[in-house]
Amino acid sequence: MNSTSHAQDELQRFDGDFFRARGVQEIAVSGRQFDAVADMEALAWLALGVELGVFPAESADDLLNRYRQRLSASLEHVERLGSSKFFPARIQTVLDQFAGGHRIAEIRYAERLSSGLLDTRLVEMLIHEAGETFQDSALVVPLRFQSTEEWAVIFEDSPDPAALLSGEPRTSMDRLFQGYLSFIDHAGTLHGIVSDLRNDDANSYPVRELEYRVRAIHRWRVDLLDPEVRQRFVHLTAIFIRAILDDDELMQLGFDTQGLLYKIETVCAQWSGDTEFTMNIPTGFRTWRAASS
Amino acid sequence: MVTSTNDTAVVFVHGLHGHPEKTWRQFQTLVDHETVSAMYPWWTSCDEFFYSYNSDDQIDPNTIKLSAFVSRVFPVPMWDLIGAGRTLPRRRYERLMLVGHSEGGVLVRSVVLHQVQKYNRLGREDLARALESDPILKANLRLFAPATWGALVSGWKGVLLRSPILGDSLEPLLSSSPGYQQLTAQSPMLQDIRMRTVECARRYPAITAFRAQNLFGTQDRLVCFGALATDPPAEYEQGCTHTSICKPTVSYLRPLAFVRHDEFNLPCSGRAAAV
Repeated sequence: MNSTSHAQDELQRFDGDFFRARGVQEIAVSGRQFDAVADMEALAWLALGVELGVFPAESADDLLNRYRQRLSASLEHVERLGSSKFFPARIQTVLDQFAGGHRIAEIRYAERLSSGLLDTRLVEMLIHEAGETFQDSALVVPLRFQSTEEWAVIFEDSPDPAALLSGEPRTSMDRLFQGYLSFIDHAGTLHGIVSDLRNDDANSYPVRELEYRVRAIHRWRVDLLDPEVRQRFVHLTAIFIRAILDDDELMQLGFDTQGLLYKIETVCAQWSGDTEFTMNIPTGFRTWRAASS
Repeated sequence: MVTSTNDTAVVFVHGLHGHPEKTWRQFQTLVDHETVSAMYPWWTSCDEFFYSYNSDDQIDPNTIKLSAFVSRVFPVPMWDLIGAGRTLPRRRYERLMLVGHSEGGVLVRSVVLHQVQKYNRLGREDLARALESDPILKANLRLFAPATWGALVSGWKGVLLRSPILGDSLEPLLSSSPGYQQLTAQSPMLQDIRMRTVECARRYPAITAFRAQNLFGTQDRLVCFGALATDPPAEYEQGCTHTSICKPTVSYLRPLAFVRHDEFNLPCSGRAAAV
């Protein structure tokens, strides 16, 4: 295997997943906020990929230059929104240096990693996983960018499992739920890949640093440390649990709804880095169901 | 992963709502792991192909697509036609391994039958000769938790089962609900695949592709266990679920050994005749 051409292939895939799949949109049209922040996220992934030797630096710069105009516009937009609402200082340093015209391999900040420290193919898998859900705004936009009124309107419908299974959502609620379930799988998968990396060396500094960096780049999508986002997420989870409780077949089977909630909380704790994460949804589900129905 | 002298193509086919990369996690990396590759040097002579398809589509059209893919991989890979993204070294494989998980196992079986169907205008003797010389029918089949005997999906149950993260919450309960399993086990498509495969395996005992090695996890609650009458007995792995059965780790190397499994590469007409 020619590793240079493999790295080129990876970069080409990255371009497809993170840049090309979204067209350039005009400022202020619906979805621009998501697109602008996602562009900054893509930039941070690209820098991480170069840092860890997944992408060739020179070609990554060519890619960056190809999208520089679009990325600069997105950066301006994110700065107007307040970039600290989305990214911690470490990622903002990357964005600042991009704005200053630095080449990608020249971007410098504390705790820099380097190629050869981690299993490159697992890091590739991590980036593939981020890329596969990168365009998915079904949960992120309502959770992060919609007003209270817009959020409330979605809940005029109930999620339809048949629509979810067929992959053909009929309502905004179906779409939101698709995004919600996809997020749970995505967060669980990311954690699984990091665990695989950790298998080689449980106390590895590079793995811990990578885990931090992935959260810093990616957590803005479902920032459970943000009180409003968290409240909306809990609301959605409560609807999910309620739907399960209303499913007679599952109840007859003795399905453990509390176990399901625990699993969702665990995935969220891993995603947010908050080991104490809990949603405080009433634990007496049957009582709660009776009271709320 | 593709190096210059590899003589074996291994095609991995994921299952219902599975994923070409995630379903087989660590197959991609462990084969190059220093200790593991020393234990299983055979893997260093393999090229791995992780096939992707839309499992929401029906089995028959998916069979045709997979069949076309396999023909483009084996015996001479046509890099430009299989999405390799660039031209890789020319080679001619000597061995083909078809590896399926769950519905992927059914698809692999169906691809074998599709290959037979290509010759159905031939007379009996010509047919036997054609089948015995068909390169794809020389494949070895390794199936992880194949859904040959049925699987289940509907309503919120289906939504939960579809999730690789949340599905484990439901799997254990379904063991006490054989009714669900009977329902899908009677699918005419599955019945037809089972019946024709057994018939072919009995008629052509020297053709390896009609017999599969099957491995199930004892904690699998999604598919009915069992091999076909003409397969060797199914194998079981303690503690594995439907999703974990095909994911090797440094402490669970059986998937690597299972795909490599040599014993069944030999024609086993005696065994088939005895069933």
